[in-house]
Amino acid sequence: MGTRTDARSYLPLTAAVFHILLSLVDDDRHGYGIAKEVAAATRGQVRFGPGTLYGTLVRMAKAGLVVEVAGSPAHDRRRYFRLTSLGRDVARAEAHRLAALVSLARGKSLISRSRS
Amino acid sequence: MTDQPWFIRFGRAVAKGIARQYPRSIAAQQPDVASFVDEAIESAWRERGVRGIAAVIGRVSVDVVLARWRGPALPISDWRAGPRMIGVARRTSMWSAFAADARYALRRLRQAPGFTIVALLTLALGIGSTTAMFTVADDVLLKPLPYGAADRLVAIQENVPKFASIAPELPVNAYDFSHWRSESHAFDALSLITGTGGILSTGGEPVFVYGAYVSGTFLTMLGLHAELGRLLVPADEQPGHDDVVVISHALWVDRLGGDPTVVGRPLTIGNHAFTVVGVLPAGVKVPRQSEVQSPAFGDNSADFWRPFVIEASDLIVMSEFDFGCIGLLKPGVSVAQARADLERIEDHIAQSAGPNESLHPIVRPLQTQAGARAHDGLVVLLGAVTAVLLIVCVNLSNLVLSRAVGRQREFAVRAALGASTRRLAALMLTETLLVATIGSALGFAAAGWAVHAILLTAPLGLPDLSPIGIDARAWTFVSLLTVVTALLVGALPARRLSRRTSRAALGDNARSVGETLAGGRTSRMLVAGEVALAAMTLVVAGLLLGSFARLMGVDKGFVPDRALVVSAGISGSREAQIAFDRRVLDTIRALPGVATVGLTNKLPISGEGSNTGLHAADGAMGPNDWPTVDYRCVSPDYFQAIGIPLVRGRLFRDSDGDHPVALISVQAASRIWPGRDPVGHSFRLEGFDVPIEVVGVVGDVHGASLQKAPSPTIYQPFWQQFRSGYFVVRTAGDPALVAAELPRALHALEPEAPMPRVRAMADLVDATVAQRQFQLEVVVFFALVGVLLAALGVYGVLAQSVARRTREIGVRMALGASRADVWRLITRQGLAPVAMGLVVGLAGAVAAGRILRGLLFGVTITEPRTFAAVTVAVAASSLVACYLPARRAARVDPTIALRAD
Repeated sequence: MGTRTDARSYLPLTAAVFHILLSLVDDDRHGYGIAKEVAAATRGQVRFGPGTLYGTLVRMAKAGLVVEVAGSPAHDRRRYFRLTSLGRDVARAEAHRLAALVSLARGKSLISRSRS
Repeated sequence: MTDQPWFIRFGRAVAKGIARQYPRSIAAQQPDVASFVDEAIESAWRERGVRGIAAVIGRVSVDVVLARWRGPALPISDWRAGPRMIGVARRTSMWSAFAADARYALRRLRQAPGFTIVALLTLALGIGSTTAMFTVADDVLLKPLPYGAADRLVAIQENVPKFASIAPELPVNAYDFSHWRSESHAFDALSLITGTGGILSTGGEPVFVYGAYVSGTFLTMLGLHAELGRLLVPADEQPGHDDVVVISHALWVDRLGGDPTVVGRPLTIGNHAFTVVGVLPAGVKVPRQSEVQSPAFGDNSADFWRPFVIEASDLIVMSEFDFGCIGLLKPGVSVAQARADLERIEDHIAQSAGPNESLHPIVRPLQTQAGARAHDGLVVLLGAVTAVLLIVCVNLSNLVLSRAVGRQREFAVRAALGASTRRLAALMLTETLLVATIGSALGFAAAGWAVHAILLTAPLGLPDLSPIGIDARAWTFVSLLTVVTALLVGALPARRLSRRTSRAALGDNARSVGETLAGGRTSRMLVAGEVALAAMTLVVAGLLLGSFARLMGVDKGFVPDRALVVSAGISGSREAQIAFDRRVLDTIRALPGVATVGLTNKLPISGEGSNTGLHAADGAMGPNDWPTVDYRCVSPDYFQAIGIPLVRGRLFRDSDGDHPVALISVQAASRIWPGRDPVGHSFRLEGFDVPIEVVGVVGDVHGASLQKAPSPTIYQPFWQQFRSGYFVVRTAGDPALVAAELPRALHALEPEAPMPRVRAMADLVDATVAQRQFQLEVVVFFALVGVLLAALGVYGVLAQSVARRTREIGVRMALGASRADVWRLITRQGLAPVAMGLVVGLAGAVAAGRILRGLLFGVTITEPRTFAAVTVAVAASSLVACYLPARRAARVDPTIALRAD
């Protein structure tokens, strides 16, 4: 499967994909590690089930947003995932898109200007 | 425990089982999913305990359902959310589809009231009873006790090999305890408890109130706080400073009028003047001695707590194992470490006591000990109700499957109009989810009532420490159960129906599809499964029934019929009490309808008594052969009153006066003087020098309980070793008349004494087997329900099959098969899964027998009679279930059957 290179062609992302990308920005993680990171970052608001998570990860790997990397030898059963540069671009593009939407909302005084 | 607790392993197995239901695209990631589940369960347990595990199972279930509905396509881009969305939405939203399905399902259910009512009622029964039992088991066995540091509280007992025949687990010896307290490094606090009681005359009619001696640290280590004043402190254990008492909220309100200035006021209980130093808050549960030790012990919940002062007379090495003991582990100290620490101290004590002595501590979490008496019974009852719930699910699944045959065409039309396989499956599951939800709601209401009934009336040996009731955990459980039930019931029909939907069903040829659909193997497997569960439950019921029958048939050694038991007593000096007891005996004897009356300090089958070592004065035995005997103080007429026969020699006489005499039981005689006449011989009690002369031999009695064989027992006249408590009255006529007369007569005799309590001896005997009886009744009920449902399952599947095979049967008959051949054919088809299920069920019963062992009496787990009876019962009920379909098959008229298509 060929990978598309224009990051914007993936937008808008599903919430699940965006959360997974964000969780991988600072570190490589394995499946449960991603679920934990997302749960922690969203204060438990978003919790992945294993099926949704791996179903999504497989798709993302096929699209070239993440790649599988060798895990630590202590846990050879686990598969670790790393953000590709395309994945990083896509996450950034989605963040820009959302930021633009949010500033639109602020312009209408729908939400306050301070960080909410 | 080195291994992980069973519920973690159980939770993981459940979650993985559910995760196996992911669609194929995700199932390819199975190892990843499995390790995800492992990690999630592990960390959920660490962070949130059982609730966390339940949450993980819930999340995985929801995820499976979502994945199945949504299909394998998990998109990266959310087209619907973006500005590019143009034209027709690719699919309707999940929720609106669900709502439409639900409305449609509701309509269908209303159209089939028969199915709906059967489904709802059986589900309500299954889910309700499972939830009720789960709630009770959860509150008693799993939920932390309501004390500050509940996870660090342990109950301590002792194992003394030389007394192991009386009880392998004994209460604690005060001498050992004082060594633990001064030498052990594993505990923040260690406390003793033992029951007491006395007549309270302050604030109204004199009443007998129960209380407990407790060490100074006892109440504080539980994390309790006083509502008024203070709790007991270690300084209260100093002799001379121990006339202080902490009272319960109830006693404070009922007897002292809730006086806010009660602290510092005097309170007289028994002959003892106390100063009230504190009041406990309302609703606080303080452990009783019987809740911290294994030997059964009929104590009452306490209303006052006085300091336990260890006196020199309590410190008898290797004897007097009498006291309950709890410990508060230091933070970070494990139960095993605490045990090792105590073992070290016990070794020193045993070595210093003698060459052949040995002693071992038994340390358990307080919750485990408190729930120990209820544990096995709860597990068996939970097993029985779960089996019935599974049978209900299997039956409903078959029922839905058979209804699905009729809907084949409808589904084909839906498929032809573009409904995806998954949409069809979702439609099917929505229907079962709806039924399961309504059934659960009914069941949940019933469970609330059942839990209430269980607590009010059911004798399960439940500890009275944690509040029990329907709560958030029960809600979580019932919601989970609903989803699991719906999946169990609906998954199979949904899968088959949506998979087999083909163009063919639209044509005339629909029948052939119907046959492959419900035909066969799966239905028969389901029937085999439910027969297995029913047979297993029935075996358990049979074994419990056998045990109960044996127990009731035991020769008790006394005659409870027409015997009354009266508790009466006064405070005062030993002489005053003996005089009072003599007056009571005379008064009762003079009442009309009384045949005879006796006095004892302890009734038969009322738990472990005072056990003491004994040796023959003629020195026939070495110290290690001294038997341990049950020790009782009685009046001469006691034996006649309760119906214990005199075997040899004579009873006590008043003329025995202060000359130490005793009667011994047949067993004691044969232990101490085997093959000889003991009358005229003497013995000494351990720790005493006075020789006691044996004047007679009396029959053996079940002293501790019906299930425990009679122990060697010795009796002394109550006036020589003064201990009293119970008057046993044998009536000549109607016991009820005497029972009505007694309290008034005794109250007139001594207005200062509390109103005496009168009970029938037969009721006391019944009370000791009430727990068994209740377990038996519940298990028998669910076993019968299970067998009935399984028979219905056999009937349903066979009837369907006969209906489908009418043409085939017609052909067979046209080719020369006789009606008897058809009977045989159909019956064999019906009984094949039954036979399979029976084999599996009986094997399962043997495997499950381990849990059952503690509940059985006089029967073995593999008792052939029970297994034979169950086989006959299941086979007979299945034969009955086969009868109608087989008869219908045999009546098939070949000419009509062949013309029909």
